Amino acid sequence: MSEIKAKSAKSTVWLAVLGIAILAGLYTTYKVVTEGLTIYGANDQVVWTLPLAAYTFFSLMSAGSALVATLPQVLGFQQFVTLTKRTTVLSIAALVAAFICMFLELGNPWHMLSYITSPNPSSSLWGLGVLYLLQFVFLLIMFWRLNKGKSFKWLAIFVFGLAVLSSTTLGSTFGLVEARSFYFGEFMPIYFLLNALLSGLAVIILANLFQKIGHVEDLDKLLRIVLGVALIFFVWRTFVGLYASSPEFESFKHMFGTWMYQVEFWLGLALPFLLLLVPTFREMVWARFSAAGLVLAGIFVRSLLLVESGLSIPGDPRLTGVPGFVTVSYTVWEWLAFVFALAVLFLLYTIGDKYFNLETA
Amino acid sequence: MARYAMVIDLQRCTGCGGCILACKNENNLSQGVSWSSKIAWTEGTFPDVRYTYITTLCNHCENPPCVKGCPTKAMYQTEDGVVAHDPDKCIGCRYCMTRCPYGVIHFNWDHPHADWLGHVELIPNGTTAPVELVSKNGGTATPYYNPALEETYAGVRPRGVVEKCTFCNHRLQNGELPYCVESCPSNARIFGDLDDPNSEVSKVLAKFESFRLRENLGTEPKVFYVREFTPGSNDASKGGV
Repeated sequence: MSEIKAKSAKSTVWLAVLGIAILAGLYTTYKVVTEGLTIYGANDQVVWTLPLAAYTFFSLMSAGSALVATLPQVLGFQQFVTLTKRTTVLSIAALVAAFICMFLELGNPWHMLSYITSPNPSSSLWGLGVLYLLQFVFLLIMFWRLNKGKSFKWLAIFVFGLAVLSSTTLGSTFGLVEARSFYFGEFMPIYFLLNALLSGLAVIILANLFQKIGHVEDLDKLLRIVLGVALIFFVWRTFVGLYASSPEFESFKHMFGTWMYQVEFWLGLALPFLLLLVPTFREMVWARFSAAGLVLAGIFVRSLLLVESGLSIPGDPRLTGVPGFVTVSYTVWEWLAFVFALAVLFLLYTIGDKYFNLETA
Repeated sequence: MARYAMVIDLQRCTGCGGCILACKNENNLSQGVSWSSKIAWTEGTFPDVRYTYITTLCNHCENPPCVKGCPTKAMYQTEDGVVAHDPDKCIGCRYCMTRCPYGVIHFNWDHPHADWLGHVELIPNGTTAPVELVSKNGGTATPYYNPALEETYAGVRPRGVVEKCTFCNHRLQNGELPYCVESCPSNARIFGDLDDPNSEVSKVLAKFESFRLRENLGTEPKVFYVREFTPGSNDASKGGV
């Protein structure tokens, strides 16, 4: 009896915390709608703000969770079957969080109607909007079929394809910016796909451990492999950026000198990799929990740093009145936008966990 | 259809900045927004020093990255090759600003002309709001407004969208030159149709070697620069001995 009471009290506190965060987020939304984007620390050089980095973070998490959810049907990872429903809910919740961030990045959502009335299919950004919308709709359908116990194999294959396309297209919106060497190149789509998978694996490991759900075989192993690959990509990208002598690659040197980069590399990649690599550590729950948490935090820092570093050299830094180099600082409203999206993600997941039996396939 | 282009003769340009100011008036630009700008730098050490001044504007590229990237066709090319913008379609994503290699697209972070029409007091309960001050002085709007712009573009672009140079498309439609060309006191700006071999731009480009900004990106800018302002001279010698 006392255990039920304690659980109920915990649940009330949890919902109260989420409620406060969401209220703060709604007030931020009101400020954005009434005062515009002047409440953010942006200008004609720092054109993108923290909500855009947060959008990247959440949309990769959504794509990654969708990939993990569909791995049993697509690549035969039968040991992950019990995760399907939970990862589908996580994917839907993360996508809603991403939509909130995009809403708060644009500040003028009514104009989004132009996506339908005046589409530009040659724009990767237009494609991205369509892909995420399709991903959202098909994830909902997949979750509905899962709940009804109906077959969803072809749907899973489709959602898997959408998740690959959406994460790589997100990478391509950066990768196709020829004007900025930091962003440009085929590296971005591949790296975004890797980060999506990392994110999806880390978030489900965290959810499992947090809710004391039994150990799922091979989940840590897959995270370890993807983390290793991401580490190799990361190191080589940094090396290439630092080696290049063109002034346009100064952004890499800037990035390398920031504490955020050190956090991203040592705490977001190297340390979790070590924790999952050494058998003594990876047997321990705290090590797996820490590794997954660090990976997620690392991806968030990476999203911030990626957006920030690409903008650090203005379009034409020689223009009078334009600084040669731009540094970014975030306002409290930008952080509240992120907290808002995160709270909505947690709320949706909590509702999913409470009202649907997420343990079954 | 024409293929409009501009040639800027750097020998004639005195660096007065008249084009930048004229653009602001013609296009009803808010304070802090410039569609036209300049790149200026100094080389050498006094007294052997050289100052270079290049005026800039939207390059109206043949392959405009802003148009390619715009998700809603708010950035588009007219039949005459002018890279134009439709604020009604603009979602304010700022992707065009990131893709533009020339840094000539601006975003309206605040309401336009907030210094004249703003409702927010600079110091709450301490000063009046701009609109109140203007009203008390008998004014109703900004001190300048050109309604002719409305023929091809929004007279004033709202908060939350980008804006940029249109080669004064509203003037081109009426057979007039862009206002920066019209107002240049030293006739340093030459404007015309690249496809017309008899146009002044074609003749000048045939006569002088020209360059464009960041040509390596393949955007094919339609703003060309010819000659340079070099008032100095050097003594003839054999290898400086």
